[in-house]
Amino acid sequence: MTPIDTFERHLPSALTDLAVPATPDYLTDILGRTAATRQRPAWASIERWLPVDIARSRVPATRVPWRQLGILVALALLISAMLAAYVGTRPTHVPPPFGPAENGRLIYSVDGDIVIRDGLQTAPQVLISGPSIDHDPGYSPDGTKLVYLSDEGGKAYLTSSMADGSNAHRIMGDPIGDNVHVVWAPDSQRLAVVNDPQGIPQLSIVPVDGSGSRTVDLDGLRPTDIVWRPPDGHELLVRVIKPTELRADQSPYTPIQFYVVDIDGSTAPRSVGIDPHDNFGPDWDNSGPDWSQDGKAIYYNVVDPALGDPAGRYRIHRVNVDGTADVVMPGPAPEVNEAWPIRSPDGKWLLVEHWTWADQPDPHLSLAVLPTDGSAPAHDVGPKVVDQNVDRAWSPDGTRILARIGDTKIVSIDPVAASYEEIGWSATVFPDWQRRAR
Amino acid sequence: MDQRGLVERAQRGDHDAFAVLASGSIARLDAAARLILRDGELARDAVQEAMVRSWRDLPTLRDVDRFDAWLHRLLVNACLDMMRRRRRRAIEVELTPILIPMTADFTSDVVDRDLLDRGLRALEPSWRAIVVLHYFLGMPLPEVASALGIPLGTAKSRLHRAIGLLRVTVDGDAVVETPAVPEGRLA
Repeated sequence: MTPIDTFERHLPSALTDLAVPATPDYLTDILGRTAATRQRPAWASIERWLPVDIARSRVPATRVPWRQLGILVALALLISAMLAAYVGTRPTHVPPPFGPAENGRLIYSVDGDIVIRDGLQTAPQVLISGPSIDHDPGYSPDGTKLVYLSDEGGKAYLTSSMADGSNAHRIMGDPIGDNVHVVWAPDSQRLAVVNDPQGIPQLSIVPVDGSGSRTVDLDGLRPTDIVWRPPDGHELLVRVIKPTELRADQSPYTPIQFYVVDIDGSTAPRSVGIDPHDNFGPDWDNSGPDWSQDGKAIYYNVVDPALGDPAGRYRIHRVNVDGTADVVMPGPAPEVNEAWPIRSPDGKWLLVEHWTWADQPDPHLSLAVLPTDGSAPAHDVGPKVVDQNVDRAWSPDGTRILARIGDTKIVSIDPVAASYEEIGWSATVFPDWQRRAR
Repeated sequence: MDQRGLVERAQRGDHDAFAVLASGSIARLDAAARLILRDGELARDAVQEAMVRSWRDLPTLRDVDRFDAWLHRLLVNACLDMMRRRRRRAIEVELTPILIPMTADFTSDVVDRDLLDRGLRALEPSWRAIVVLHYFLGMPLPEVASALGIPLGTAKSRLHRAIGLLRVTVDGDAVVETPAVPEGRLA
């Protein structure tokens, strides 16, 4: 069978040959129709940018009592100043970067504004609004800062602020390109960013104080995924796409490998040395890595060949960071794919996805949890869905799993009892959960 | 004048500027529509629909640098609308002789045109759209997902499945029919 990456590489030219692009003879007809068509005014789409429920909550229902309001504001400022003075005298109490923490606020974006909720069942409040389009926010591991994207001139820029939205500032000069990957460092002072502003992905370390980013030299390797290594966060696991090589039969292929990168540059990036698992192609093979809690092993996806199925079967492997003892974790039924591990805060469980393809019997997607020690296969939790995507994350305390089903609903799942409940609201951006000290 | 300037002029109602933009993009759009729909007449209708809509809605485009991506989105929506409206109509074999290259030099030995054509036809239209948007129009997957109004993970999983099925066909194996939608998330 044609190697998949060879096939993919030739698809653009093959499609061009198949379609033979040429100016069709109906262009004049089109221009005749458009010349007779009136354009919509620019303001006609303004409603797209006004989140209806939030806009409504901002509108006062009755006449504003300015005098009383002024007194209240003055009192609030006085109390705030006293609180700030009090808090300022105490050492800041923040959670450690790895391990369970207290559940804090939820943050997400709605039509260009950043919105928070104090808990799953509380009302939304606008944290950051205004003319700019701000979106995709995330809390730092210590819960004190934010990073989000802010659009300007049609481009998105990485922006940081304090958790209350103050002191917002751009932290990276280049706009964010496609396929960006941003991960907070455990020290909450910087981020690792894979960005491709010129179409070539590169890894950068970006301080949140805006002092300038630094590109990490990966010697020509193309980074895709990044995960900070516990327990101290001095190193990164980087999934890289290596330059094309030749197989024994001289056919080209693109190996995927994991590298451990010392972000201070004191040692050169070193390969974990896993099997290339050259089964499906660089966009899929050896994907979705996460660390074990002690930072000594890596869990990752492998597309294993499956009899009679060109798409193969996803399975989760565990490998030591030195590349030894690569084993497949106990898997589900043969027809079910299992992939995308996310380690629980206590390090004892992996949250994974189970799915079957649409041309298999009972096509579906579900979530499952799998013990990290490999002592048992995963058990399904939460709803079983068809034809929808599922985003998911552990709550900081590890007692719940938050899952967004399509754009329509968010459920809170008990990973032990496997029960779940709808939380009654949803968002087009998956919320991030703030970690707080216990 | 660069494309940005043309888009800005067209936004202000300059039809000559729009004509330049349309001339520069119509061959690409027509080819993409024929690949997605596998029917010349439907493709023509879809391109006309996308073009008229782009002229009508151009003043509402906030980011003029995204004109191409926006136009592609209009096209793919028009294509999928065509498919929905004409679902009962038997899709004719397209690729009239004049459009088939007469030379034998087809890309390479790696991908056979007739088999690729057969593989594309076997795909469900929305899957074909993903393949065409990504591999023919060169749209990054996040943009493809946005254009089709589906989550990125879904776009990736559909692309994964579509490539697997195309590869099976191109390699001469049995074509697997593709019903609705697989799920899962890919790298």
